[in-house]
Amino acid sequence: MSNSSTRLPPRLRTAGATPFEQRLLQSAASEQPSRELSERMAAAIGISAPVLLAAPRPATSAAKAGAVGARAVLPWLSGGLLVLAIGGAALGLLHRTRGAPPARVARALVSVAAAPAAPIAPAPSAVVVAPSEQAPSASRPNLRNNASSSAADLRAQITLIDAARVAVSAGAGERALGILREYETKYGAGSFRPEVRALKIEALIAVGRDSEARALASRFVADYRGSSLAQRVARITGLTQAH
Amino acid sequence: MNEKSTTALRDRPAPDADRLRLQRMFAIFHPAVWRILRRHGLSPDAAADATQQAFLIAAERLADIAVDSERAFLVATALRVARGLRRKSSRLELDNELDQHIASAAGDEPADVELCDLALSKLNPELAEVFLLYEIEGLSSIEIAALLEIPPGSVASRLRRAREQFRTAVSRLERGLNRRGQR
Repeated sequence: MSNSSTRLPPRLRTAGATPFEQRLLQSAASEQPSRELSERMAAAIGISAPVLLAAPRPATSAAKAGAVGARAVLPWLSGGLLVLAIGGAALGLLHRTRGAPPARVARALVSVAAAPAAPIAPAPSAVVVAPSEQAPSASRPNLRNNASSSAADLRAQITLIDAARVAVSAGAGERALGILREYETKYGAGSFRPEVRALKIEALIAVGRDSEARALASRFVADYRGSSLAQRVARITGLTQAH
Repeated sequence: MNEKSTTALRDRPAPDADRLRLQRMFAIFHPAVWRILRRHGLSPDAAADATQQAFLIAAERLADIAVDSERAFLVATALRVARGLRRKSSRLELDNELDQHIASAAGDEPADVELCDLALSKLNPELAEVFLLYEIEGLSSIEIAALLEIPPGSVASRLRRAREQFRTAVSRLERGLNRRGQR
C-alpha cells in the first residue's frame, strides 16, 4: 500500500469548495451538544455531574470548528483531571461489572429502542489488547505523574495536547505542529510526551510531509514497541509493526 | 504481546484509572460521537440517547479498548448505532424538508447545519459515512479504511462519489434558497 494510493484530496473545508459549501461543512463540524444534553449524557453513563456542572461553558458556538472544539472540551477535561489529581472528587461510580447499579440505571435511561439487541462490537481495528507492561505506556505516565505535577501544569499541558488533537482532527496540520512545538518548548519531558510524538506524526501526514512522518513513526514504533499507541502510529503511517 | 501480562492488566482492579479514562473519553469525544449521530439525521435528543449508548458500550468494554484507540472505538460504535437507527426516523425528501424548514423558521434562514444535514441525507449511506468521517470529522484515509473495513482505495473512490453527490445536493439547496429569497 503506497501513500499515494491512500492520500485523499484536501478537505473541502479548506480548499476547493464554494463559500456556501464551506459554510455548511463548517457549521456541521463545529456543532456541539448543548450543556443540558451533555450533562444528561454524563449522568446516564455514570459520570458524576459535579465535574460537568462546575465547569465553565464556552459562550459561543459560532467560532471555527477547531477552536470551538477545544474550548468546549478543555474546561471539562481539565476540571475532571484536576479533580482526580487532587484526589478530592467523589465521582459517580462506574462499575466494570455488568449489571452494576450505575450501569443498570444508565442503561435504563438509554431510550434508543432501535439499537441492535446484541452487544455492538466495534470495528476490529478499534479493539486491541492492552499494551504489555514492558512497553512504555502512553497512558500510564498521565496517571503516574498526576501526583507530582502541579495542577496548573497539568491543565496547561492538557490544553495544548487537546488543542493539537483538535487541530489534527480538523486537518489543520500546520496549526497542530505549532501547538506541539509550544508543548515541546514548555514541557519537553512532560507527562504527554508519547502523545505529542504521535500527534506530531499525524500532523506531518496532514501537511503532506509523509516521509518525515514515516521516519518519526519508525523511531516511535521502535521506542514504544508493543504499545497500542505504537500500533496506532504504525497503522496510520502504513508501517508494519514488528512484535 | 505477552498473554500473561495482558491478562494481569485486565484483572488488576483500577477503578480510579477507569473512571478517569472514561471521564476523559467523554470529555474529549462525546461532541464528535454526538455529531456523527446528528449527521445521520438524528435530532439532538435522539443523538444524545445514542451517544449514551455508545459510551455505555465503551464503559463495558473499557479493558478491551487500547490506549489511544478510544476515538476509533467510539466512532466505530457510533456508526454501528447509527446504522441500526438509520431510516427508523423518517426523513422527508429534500425539497419538502427545505420547505418545512423555511416555514418553521418564520422568515429566518434555516440553520446552516440543518442545510448540511439535508444535503448529507441525499447521499448514499455508504458514501455519506466516508464523507462524514473525512470532511467533517477529519479522520485520515487509513483510519477510515480501518474503521469501515474497506481498502484505502475504496475510501478514495467513495469520497470522490460522495463529494459529487454532496455538491449536487448543496447546489440544489442553494438554488432552492435563492428562489425563495433566502440567500
